[in-house]
Amino acid sequence: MTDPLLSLEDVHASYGESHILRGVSMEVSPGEVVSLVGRNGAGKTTTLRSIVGVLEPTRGTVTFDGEDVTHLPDHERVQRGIQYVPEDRQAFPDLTVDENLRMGDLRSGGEGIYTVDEVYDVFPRLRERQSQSASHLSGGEQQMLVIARALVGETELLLLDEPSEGLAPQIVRDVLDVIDRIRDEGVTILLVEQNVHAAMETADRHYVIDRGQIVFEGDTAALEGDREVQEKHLGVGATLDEP
Amino acid sequence: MISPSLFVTELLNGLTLGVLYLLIAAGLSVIFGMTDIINFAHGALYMLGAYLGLSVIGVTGSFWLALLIAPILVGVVGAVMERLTLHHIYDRDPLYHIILTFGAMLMITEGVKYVWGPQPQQFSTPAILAGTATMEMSMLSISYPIYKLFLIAAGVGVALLVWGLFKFTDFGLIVRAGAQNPGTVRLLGIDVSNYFTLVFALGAALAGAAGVLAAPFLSVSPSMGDSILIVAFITVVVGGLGSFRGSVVAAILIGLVESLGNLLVPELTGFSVYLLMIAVLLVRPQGLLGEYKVRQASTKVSFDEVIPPVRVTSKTGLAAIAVLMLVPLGIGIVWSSYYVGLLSLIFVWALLALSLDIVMGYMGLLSFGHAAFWGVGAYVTVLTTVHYTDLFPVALLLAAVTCGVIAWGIGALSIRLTGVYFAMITLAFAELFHQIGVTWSEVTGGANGLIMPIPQMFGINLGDTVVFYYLTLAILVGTYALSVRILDSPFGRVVKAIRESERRTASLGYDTNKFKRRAFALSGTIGGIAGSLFAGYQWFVSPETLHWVVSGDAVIAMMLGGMGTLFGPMIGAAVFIGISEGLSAYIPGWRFLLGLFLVLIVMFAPRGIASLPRVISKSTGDARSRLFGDSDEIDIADYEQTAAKEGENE
Repeated sequence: MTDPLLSLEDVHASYGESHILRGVSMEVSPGEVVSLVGRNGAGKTTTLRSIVGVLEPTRGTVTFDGEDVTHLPDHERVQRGIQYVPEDRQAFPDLTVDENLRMGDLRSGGEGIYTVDEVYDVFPRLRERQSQSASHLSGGEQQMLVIARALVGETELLLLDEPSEGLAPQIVRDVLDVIDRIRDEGVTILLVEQNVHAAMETADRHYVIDRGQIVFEGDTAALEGDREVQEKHLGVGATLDEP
Repeated sequence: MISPSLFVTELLNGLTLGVLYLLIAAGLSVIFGMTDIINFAHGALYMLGAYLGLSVIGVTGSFWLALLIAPILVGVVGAVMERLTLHHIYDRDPLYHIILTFGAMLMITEGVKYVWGPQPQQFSTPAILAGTATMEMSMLSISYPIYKLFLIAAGVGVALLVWGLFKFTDFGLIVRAGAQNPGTVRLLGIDVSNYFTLVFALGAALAGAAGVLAAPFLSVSPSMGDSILIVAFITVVVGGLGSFRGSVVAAILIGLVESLGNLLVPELTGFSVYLLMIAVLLVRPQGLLGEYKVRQASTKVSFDEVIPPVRVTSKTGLAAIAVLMLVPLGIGIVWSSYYVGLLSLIFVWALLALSLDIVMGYMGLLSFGHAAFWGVGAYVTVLTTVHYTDLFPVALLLAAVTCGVIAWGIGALSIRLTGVYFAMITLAFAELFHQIGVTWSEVTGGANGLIMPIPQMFGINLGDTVVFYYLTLAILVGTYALSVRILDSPFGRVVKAIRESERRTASLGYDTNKFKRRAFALSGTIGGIAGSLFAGYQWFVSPETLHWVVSGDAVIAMMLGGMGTLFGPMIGAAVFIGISEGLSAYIPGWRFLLGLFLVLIVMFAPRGIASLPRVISKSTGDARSRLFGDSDEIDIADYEQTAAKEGENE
């Protein structure tokens, strides 16, 4: 087995007094698409934030590409190739689409997967809106913009936090297509999802998190077969099971 | 009839003035745009630029070298200042930034006095720009100083340079992105904190350049930044906080309003600028070209620990009163009557700080205009005793009522504004009163002020040091007890709820504006009493009592002591007046120490002196727990405390 690209060992993290992560351990190998599934408040976003360094773990280690990055500041982790697309999108509203993309290109570090020009080919909608300010984009377009912005920088590992959250079903399709396309480029992806079906559709391997601890690890077939995990930790009821 | 030549000359004067404001406001606007910091040290940096320019000319003899080197040096000063202080407290309430930069202003001003001396200095116009240019056309005959024309060109140049820097460079792109969301910039792999330092340095350098450019045109003195700072604030607010283009437009507009306004409506000389700002804030609070940003609108004064006021009837309260009652007995034995007089002055300032704490510490609205109440209270007192009655208490009562009514009026107009916007509109109102004090000389005596008869009441001489001491002490204790009472009442609880969240309070069905107006009126009333007693203390009143520096000093005294505690601001006033009156006699550069003290308080004890016992006991407690390794238990104790407090808040 190849060395993992990312590994978390017994990571604890808290916001002030509230202890959110209580010993999370997981691994992501190069080229994999892995999902982290859990209910609201289970610690999914906090895990991502600990990986990218917005939040410093209180205990445990985060290893990326063979290097202990647990206590590196966030911008230095990004320079090493960890790209984080947060749930609340965070395009710069007063900058144009083009300027937003250029912001992704300014960091020091290696080449991106795409140049700004190439990324417009992947996201043709963005080219049409090149000189408009990001605040005029729809929710789906903003999501595309933020993913595109991450990809113009060096991307070894892409962390996506509920990329389809709050989007219309047709737009969700587009976003999933884009994720497929990115994985075909060989980008390693860690995807956070609340919706277990979306996770199973996109990722090969899954972790289930509940109350700050990993309670399940396995491939799609294993997750599909494990009704107990689905009911107990994901709140998937029998009647809501099939779409 | 105004001749065309006069009109064009005034137009050019307006442009010159506008460009001068633009040069100073540019740096302020750049700094605010990214960091949200209202830099009170900006006027001092401008002044520093002029002095450094003077020295460069002294060494090299070249104005142009001065124009290059002085701004760089000022930029370095700005960078150091940011790196050592502001850099670590960006997440704090804007109020702390104001206090900190105010402290820095005092330090820079004193430093300049120490190096260059306090006297104004001559800064000669470079030979090539000396003299006047004349123009003759059919109806026009104008001669105009070349230097002023150069200044206009330089202003346009600086504005274009800054605009281009932000529009076309990577640096500018990162700064604009960082202004919107610094966290996301970091998540793109860029260490945005360095850009905060660079932007602050750039803003400081712009101030320095403005100083050099203005120097041949104005005289160079340590106080040259004081009055221009307020105009620069007005420019930035009128243009729209954070909008550079807005600042440019506003600067030119203000310059023209001032010069053409004086020409067309001479009665409004000195008022027009403040009226313009009030009008803009009332009609379009976000400014001409700005956007209303919630962050700038919220002075979020939220405390992680509540320090309750000391009750008058508690042991500490009674003991303090008893000790203070005994003080005059020591005259001639332990101390001279000078110190008793000083204590009365402290009591008077304590009242002003207390009044400010009601709106600021308890309601979360930063008033930067309490000088209005202090000054109006003093003027009403003096005018009443001069013209109508020699009964001091009547004058005092009249001052209190007048200020209460004025506060209610200002509140009715401006109470829906919050945060920086509220601070600025209160500042503008206070400056209006200041202008009235200066210009309405038939009544106020103008800049010379008015002398009042020795205060008395039914034959009792209130001017006697000891009698006045007991009078102020009694009023202070009474006001304090009453304020504690009011803030503990249902009314006070709503006021405190507004501080925590105005929206939530409103959603519970309270008319929050009504409560804010009343609390502001209460605060104004107490401020008026303080001003009245101040007149009684010095038997004299002058427009200085209405100057914005008084408002600034009151905010500092409040912060120093610890706002939101009622007794803290009074301690702060004691320390502040103690330092300014006490140290000034012994240490020439005492204002430098005061500035340093302010900076240190903001950095290390943001809840002020009132919190020092806790800060100290906490740090020794931490040391103890490190020693014995029982930190886990402490954590749990803290956790329970927080949980209990959260329970209270729900």
